[in-house]
Amino acid sequence: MQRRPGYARDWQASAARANFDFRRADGSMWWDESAYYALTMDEVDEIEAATTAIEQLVYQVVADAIEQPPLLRALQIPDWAHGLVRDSWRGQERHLYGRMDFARGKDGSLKLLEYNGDTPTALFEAAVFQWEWLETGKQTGALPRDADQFNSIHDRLIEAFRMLGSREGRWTFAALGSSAEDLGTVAYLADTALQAGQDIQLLAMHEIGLADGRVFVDLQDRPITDLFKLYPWEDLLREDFGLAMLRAAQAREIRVLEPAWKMVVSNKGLLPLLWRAAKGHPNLLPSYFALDVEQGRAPSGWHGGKGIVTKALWGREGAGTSIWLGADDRPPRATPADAPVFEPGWYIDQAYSELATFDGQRPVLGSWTVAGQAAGLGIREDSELVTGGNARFVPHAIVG
Amino acid sequence: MRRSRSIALLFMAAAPIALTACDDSAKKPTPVGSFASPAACRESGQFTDEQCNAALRDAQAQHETRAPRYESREACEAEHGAAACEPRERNGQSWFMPALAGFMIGRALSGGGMMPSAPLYGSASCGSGLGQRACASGSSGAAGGFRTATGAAVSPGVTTMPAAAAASTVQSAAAPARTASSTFNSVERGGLGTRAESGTMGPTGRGAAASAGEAGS
Repeated sequence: MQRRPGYARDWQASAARANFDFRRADGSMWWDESAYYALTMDEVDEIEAATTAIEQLVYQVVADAIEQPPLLRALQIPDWAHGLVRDSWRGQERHLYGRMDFARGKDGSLKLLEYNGDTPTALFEAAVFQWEWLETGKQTGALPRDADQFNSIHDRLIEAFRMLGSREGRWTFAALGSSAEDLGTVAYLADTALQAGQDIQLLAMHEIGLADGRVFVDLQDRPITDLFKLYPWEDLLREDFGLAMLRAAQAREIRVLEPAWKMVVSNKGLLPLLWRAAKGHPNLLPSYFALDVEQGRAPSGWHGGKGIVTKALWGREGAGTSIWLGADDRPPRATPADAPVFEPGWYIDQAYSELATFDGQRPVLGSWTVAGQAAGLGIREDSELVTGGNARFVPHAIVG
Repeated sequence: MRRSRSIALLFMAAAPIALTACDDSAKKPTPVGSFASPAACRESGQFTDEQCNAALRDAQAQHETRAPRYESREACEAEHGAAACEPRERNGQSWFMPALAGFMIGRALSGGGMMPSAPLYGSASCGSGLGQRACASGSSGAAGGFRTATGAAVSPGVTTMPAAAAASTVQSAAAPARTASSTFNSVERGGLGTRAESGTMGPTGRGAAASAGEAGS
């Protein structure tokens, strides 16, 4: 993998045509094509194989976890929601998409940092905008004519919605009305559903109605039978309509994407579960629940001496993550800046792995799954150790 | 399948998505056009000759597999208008389906990308029960509108509605528009989507994302 200088084009005009909002609220750039990552076909094959292998491992871990209440409790999934998660998995509810974040180690290894299984974003950039960047580059001769990209996300999303179907021919897409990024993601997903022959409508989360305390309805008071929500299950269940949603989803009166069993996958607690199921797997980093580390249930020296990364079970965009570098077995239990207190039960510890740097940047390889299949790659880079809200999306091409 | 063959967007490109009615960006037009002929498409000034012809060809190709199917001519004509339906027979099964009445065309992202398209069918006049429902829920409110393969009411021409409203024009007309009074005793709203906006997550470490009002990651 190499980081190469990008080619010059009026990409802001392309962005405007695609209605792609490339700036954050503070005006800084989120899309960056001043550089791109050049991968070989072998490297892409490796990422695809790792994604496929971990997806299978994830199914095994979920199937195991839903039968064991103590494991679900370790994920901080409350007891009253265990039945929902269990039925959702046993009923083989289909899922749509997810993003595994991998990193290249300095030693050339490919390690899973985490799996965003419930509400991943940066989807449009990966599926559409970097695809357009590649096509334009090939047409203008800025990129080799035989350049390729690991990216069938768009085609697979449309195919996935064809397979999913819907009860009344209509999917309702909901997101927080205040987030441009989230709205862009659901608008794009809705577009793929439309192209799959589904009718669509977009709602803000707060517009979803609850009729007679029992039936979820849209703004015309029509029952919502198929709902895509870009909103974490763990938040949804704790809200005013949470119990009604639990009941309706469990009774299959409403189908929700992602399905409830994804609560196990989107949770950082998945990482220790994966490690326990496949200790020593070449694509996994040693991981334990922080509570197990605190109480001496992790083997001594489990992290290999380079350091420990502590992650909140439900941390998103790097939130609740702290890194401690050193050989000592005792991680610093400093209170993360964005949490009121450090409660080990809400965190996991992952062995620190030294990432390969490219021009001082640390790229995270977001490997997308659609309907459980490896579907494409989207790379975000950050000069910081934790890939957070300041990361930039950088396109990739397969060359050579 | 390593890379998507072509990428096209039906309603998203150039249509800012805003769910809050007070947002000005919601008033920008969407790029979706619905036409009875390539000539009407061209005259809209939004698409080239070539794009219009390609969209029609694509809609024709999709027609046989995507057209809605009915058990009887009467049922078909009730939805799509008199004399609008044709019989079909295959593998010992027979049905009626509407003739292709037009096509829907979206805006491709860049040169080289396919224009997305979809077949359109006639819509019964606003006299009968079913037709009335389509007229009531559709945006045109007049006979001569189209239906998508999945029953959505679509008005001819280039859609110039806010994105959120544009989404509603592709809602199914098959589901009756109920009112709260006739179906439900009460409808409450606002019971979802509050946690991530208020940032009261407790020790879940979602503070950073939460303060920005984002739920995805």
